[in-house]
Parts: sequence; structure tokens; C-alpha cells
Amino acid sequence: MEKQRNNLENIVEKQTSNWKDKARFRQKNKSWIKLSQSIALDVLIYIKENGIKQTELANLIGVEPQRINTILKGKENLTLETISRLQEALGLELIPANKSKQTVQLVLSIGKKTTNTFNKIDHSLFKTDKSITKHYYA
Amino acid sequence: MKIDTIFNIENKSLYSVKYFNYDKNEFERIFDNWITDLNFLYDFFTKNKKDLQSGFYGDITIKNAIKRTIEEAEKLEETLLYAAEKGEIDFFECLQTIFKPLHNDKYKVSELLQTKAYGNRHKSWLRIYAIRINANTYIITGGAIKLTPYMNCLHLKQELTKIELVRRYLSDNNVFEQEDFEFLEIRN
Repeated sequence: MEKQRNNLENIVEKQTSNWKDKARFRQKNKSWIKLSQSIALDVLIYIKENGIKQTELANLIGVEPQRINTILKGKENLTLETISRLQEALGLELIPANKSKQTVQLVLSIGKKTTNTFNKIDHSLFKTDKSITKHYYA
Repeated sequence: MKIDTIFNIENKSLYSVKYFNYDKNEFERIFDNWITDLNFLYDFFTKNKKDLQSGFYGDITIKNAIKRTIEEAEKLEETLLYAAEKGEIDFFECLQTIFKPLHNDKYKVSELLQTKAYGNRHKSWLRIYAIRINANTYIITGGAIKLTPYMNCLHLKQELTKIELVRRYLSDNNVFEQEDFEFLEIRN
């Protein structure tokens, strides 16, 4: 068995693989990489299903085509500006706002009809959810 | 398909073949595809949509299939590396506990056994193929996403070709001299 291991070592590449560095990087940066992947996946599926070429998307958001390729690999530390441009170009919500949770809290607060509860409500919601506003003032 | 070289991935326990066709060794190439290459995954599941949505995996979209693959691949990579590292000191956590015979009717563990490993999840479609040198020395020959019960798709047949190619290469280089060998596959 030792002879076999030695014979194996004779044919193994002396240069080591760098996978460990990649795996460690992924592990260390897991949270933002997951987010980047999620965004990249939504963009990729959208452009594939709508027949949008990567070069077209690059033109829409004002970057080089190679950059789109990098973004779509899902390991890019995207800036807010890039995410915003992608959202505007494609009409997608790539980072979902916590609107649904806030809307439920607002409805419950209105139901209680307490001033204190009202004061805790995020008033910016009135700008985005007009149906709730109408209900309250009715 | 021709073998370029073999890389030591971990601890002289886990090795990986590099073919001339590809710019990375199989271990890196497979996990890069499964964990970071969304284009690869999208194209694969689109091309094999019929098999994916045959009912065996339930009602699953391409998007969810991609997410599932990434999640399982990360865990499988971690498991393989842990076993490769630990197996040198703990037989019960070595690579032999992860790799199973490639052909389900084979049960004898022997040298140059062709093996397979699966992803962690029940009904995992991830497969890593390797040749066993001993209880904690395996050479990865390739890997695939297996959506069908049999290995009759082109990409799976290619894995069988690769594993046989590596077996002959090892035999030719006297890594193992015996004529008999068996094939193994990794399953989680």
C-alpha cells in the first residue's frame, strides 16, 4: 500500500491547487456573497426569460459587457449604485423592502386606534400604500 | 478526453484529476460550477428541464433548483474536505464513509474501486465520482448533476468514460498493479 502511495505521489502535480483559498473566501464572506448571488440569479433569470442580451443590459446600466458577466457570476460585491441601476433598467426589486411586514403592523395599529400606537407607525408608508391611508381617514 | 495531471487537494487524502480539456482540476471545476457559476446552472437546468420537472423532485422551478444546488454543493464540499482531513486520524470519519460503490450491485471495497458521493440532502442530484486507492485516499475523476435514475445521458456517460480513463492511467503508472478493481460513487 505504501508503494502505491509513493507511486501516486510520483505522478501528482507538485504545484498545489488554490481551492482552499477560494473556499475560505466564500466562507468568510458568506452573507454578502449570498445576497450577490440572489441578485445575480434574479437578473439572470429575467434577462434569459425576456431575451435581453448581456451587451444590451450593459448599455442600459452604462457598464462594459464584461462587467455584466462578472455580476452574473454572483460573487461580485455590488455597490448600491449598481443595484439601483439594475433595478431601474429591468424594473425589478432586487433587494426587497420590508414593506409587507410594515403594512401589517400599520393595519394592526389602526385597528387598535391608540395615539401611542399611531405615533410608532412609520409615516413614510402613507406615501407608498394609499389604500391604508384611505382606510384610516374614512 | 486526456489526463493532464493529478492535483493533491487535501492532506494527501483527496486528489483530483485535471484533463487537458479544462483549465482547472475536476474538484475545483465542479464546485466552481455548482456554487458560483449561475450561467452554467441555468443553462444546465434549462436544457434538462424535462428531467428536472419529471415529478421525482416534486414541483420545482429552475430558480429553486439552482438555489438548492448551491446550498448542497457548499455542504458537500465542506464534508469532503472535513473527511479528508479527519480521516487520517479517525477511520470512522474518513472518505470511505462518504464514497459508495458506483454500481449499486457492488459491495466489495477494494483498491481502484470506482466510487460516487452524493449531496447531503435526501434525493440529492449531486454526484462526485472517484477512484479509491485506500480507505482515506481517493482521486476525484469528475462530477455531475444527475436528474435521471440511470447514467444514460451524455453528460453522465462522459463521467463513466472519465473514471475508466483514470483507472487505466493509474494502472499504467503502477499506482495499483492488480488487475481487479471496482467502481465507486460518492453518496451522502
